[in-house]
Amino acid sequence: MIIECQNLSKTFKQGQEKVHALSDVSFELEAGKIIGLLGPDGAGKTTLMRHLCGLLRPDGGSVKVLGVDSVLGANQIQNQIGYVPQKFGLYENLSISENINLYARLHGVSDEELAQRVPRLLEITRLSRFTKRMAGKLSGGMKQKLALICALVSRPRLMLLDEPTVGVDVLARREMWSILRQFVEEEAMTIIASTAYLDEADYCDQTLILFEGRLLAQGTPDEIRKMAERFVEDPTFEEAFQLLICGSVPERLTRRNPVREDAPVRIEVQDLVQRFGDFTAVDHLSFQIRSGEIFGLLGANGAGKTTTFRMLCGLNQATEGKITVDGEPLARNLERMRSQTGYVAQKFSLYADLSVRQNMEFFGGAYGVRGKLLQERIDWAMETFQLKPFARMNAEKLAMGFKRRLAMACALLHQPSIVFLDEATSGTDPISRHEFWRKILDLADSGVAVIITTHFMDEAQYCDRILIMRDGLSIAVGSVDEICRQGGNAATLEEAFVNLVT
Amino acid sequence: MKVLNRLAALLKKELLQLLKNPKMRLSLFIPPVVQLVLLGYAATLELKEVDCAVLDHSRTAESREIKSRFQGSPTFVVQPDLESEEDLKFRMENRKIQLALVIPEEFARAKAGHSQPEVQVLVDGRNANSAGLAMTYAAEILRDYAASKMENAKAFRVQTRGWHNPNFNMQYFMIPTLLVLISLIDVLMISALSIAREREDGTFEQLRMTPFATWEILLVKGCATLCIALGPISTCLFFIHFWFHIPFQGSCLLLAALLGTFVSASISIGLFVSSLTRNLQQSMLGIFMVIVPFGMLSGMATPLESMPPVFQTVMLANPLRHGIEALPRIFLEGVAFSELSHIFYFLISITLVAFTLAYVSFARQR
Repeated sequence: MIIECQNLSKTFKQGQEKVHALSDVSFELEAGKIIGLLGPDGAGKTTLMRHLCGLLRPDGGSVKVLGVDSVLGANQIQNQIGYVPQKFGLYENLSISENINLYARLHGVSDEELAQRVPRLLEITRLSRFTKRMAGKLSGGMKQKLALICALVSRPRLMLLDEPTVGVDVLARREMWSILRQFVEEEAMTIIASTAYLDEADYCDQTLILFEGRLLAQGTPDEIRKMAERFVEDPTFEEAFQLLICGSVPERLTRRNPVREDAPVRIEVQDLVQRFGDFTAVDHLSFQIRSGEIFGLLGANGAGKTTTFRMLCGLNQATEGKITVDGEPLARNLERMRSQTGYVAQKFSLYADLSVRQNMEFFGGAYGVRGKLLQERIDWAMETFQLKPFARMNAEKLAMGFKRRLAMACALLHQPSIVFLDEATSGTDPISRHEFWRKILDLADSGVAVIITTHFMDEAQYCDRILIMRDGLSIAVGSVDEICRQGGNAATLEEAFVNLVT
Repeated sequence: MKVLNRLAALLKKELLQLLKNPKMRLSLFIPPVVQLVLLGYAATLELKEVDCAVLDHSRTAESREIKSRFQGSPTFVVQPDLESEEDLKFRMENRKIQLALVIPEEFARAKAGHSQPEVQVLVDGRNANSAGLAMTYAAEILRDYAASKMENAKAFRVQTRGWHNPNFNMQYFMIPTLLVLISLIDVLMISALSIAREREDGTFEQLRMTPFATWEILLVKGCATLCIALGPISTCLFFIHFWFHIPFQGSCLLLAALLGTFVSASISIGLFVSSLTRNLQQSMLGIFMVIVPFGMLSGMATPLESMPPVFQTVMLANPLRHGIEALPRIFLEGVAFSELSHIFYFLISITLVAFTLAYVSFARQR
């Protein structure tokens, strides 16, 4: 057993309240495997990892790593393992090779070993070509890979990775997992990686499912999935997770009122171009979004999604091309267009030091909703998003899932007819995500045009139409089925996406 | 009507953000007032308690009289006599004394005879400013001495009278000046940081997605800062009047109008600075880049008239310069609006130009 964890508990004090970050967590893990630590934001993944490294002292229970107690032998453990926290301390102004050399020295790796080992690490991570590039100029995925190398130069027996795939696109995530697999096989290493993306469970040999500080289940991905078989046919990992959380599997979501062929076009984009100097971020993009349609904008990081999104919102001005809303040019009707638009940003971006109600009052007021109507809308939002108990709480104190709900509520107070959602569900648990999507589908059913970007391929399934971008170009547009066909008759959307983008 | 309602919602949000957090409230009110009170005592251009010593080669009644005149002056503290030229050099190098008086052996004889008696004053020139002042005070004492010894006491006497400040009380000038300086720093911080914080939190993007026009956002942020700044400024005025007892000859209305325009000009500059920066850190650096030249070239520490003409012209864009010119005049002289109209003209121009620049710079970031 490489790790034995017994009745581990940890509470943190947050002001006057106690937060149970971990309660009574027990498990054992075998060496030589990839172990996935799955759970939404705030489930206790990072706290557990820090205990395994001996960085935190448990309030109750004990942890043994490599046969050593984590409190008594913290130093001994730390010398034998590699830990990559979410924000790994890369030196942004040093090149890739300088960063690697620095970490090698810090871990006392000899020059010969370094010379022998680094080329292989660079080869596996496909960073060999970029060794002279500054770490600050790397993409999110490349930074994660560099952090991985820095932690691996000292040949640890156990690697702990805290959300190595957060914020990077499907392609980079797939690559990361295949790199991890290679290390486990070549170096007989054990890897524990945490993730909030439940669909990544299949890359792991073992999974630990964590929710609100409790260990809900431990097992292979198939074992976990099987648990839900009583409830649905061919269950997904996410459905199994939902079962573990609330004891039942919610119904699969469908549109009640699918978008009609003759629905009016709300947004029309023609030959849209955005250039930054020599770089063309968006290259002659054309598409239409109709009333009642859910339109998904997908692509790898840097494909031009965000730029397109910002132009649609009027936050960026297009270099060339035309965006019309209800047949009128966007540039000239920005204010009117914005008053009918709701926008939920990728990062939580409401006023952290204002209360839930104050945030709602401000955003309602900002869109010109006032008086009795504003009170009605706030009541509606509190009800719909179950925010009533938190009305007087400052927004920053809300749990991640509730922050997302508040963001959504603020975007819908003025009853917009166009809604932009920029990765609006990232970091929420499967139950909230399910509720969220129920609401988004309801919105579309009532005739609202919804435009989304997402890294979750299972969310993209709900879109009526999807546009996939690569290098600023549109490479596929159509319904989920059409995309699958265009992606080489792929069985799943993810496969089709990978085929199209690579 | 609808527009006004929207703007009211925005103003309410800005004020809530600044005032809701108790720590924020304290940091808005306490530091300016504490700074004013402390600096009011500490920051003075007067020279007091200059250590000096005499190297007396003459050792006569005359030389002792000169020494006693120095002892009687509030400016100087006379240290034990110097023994030799080496002693003088040593003590001056080690900053034991700042000024030395060398009375030559033939001093009394020369005075009695027909040749001109001479006294040497040596001063530590490492701080040129205080050296110059010490030199002036010493020369004054010696001149007085010389005049008193004139045989036919018909030499003229110089009568000095300080208009608006009969006792040359330095605080009368320093404290109103400090008020403008402190308000400038306070206001630049509030306005620039409120935008930088929104940028870092990502709420600025969210704000720009609302139907507010860029100029509306800037205007309301400016107004909120103005409202907030009135709090510490009036507290400072309270202290100036009831604690420091600085005489106030002018009209309250004029004072309010001047401070209002001065603060508006400073806010616009703060908004412009923050329009050029991306985050909190850059904003802080930006503010300091502005404050240092504004403070140094404002006429507070060095006379405006001695700056190169180019600087004098450039510094017309410095609100602090105008504030420092106008405020002591309102306090001590009680000038009428007509005499300060040029100041208002400059301050309003600064406000308009800086606000327009901030607007253009924000609008171009789309």
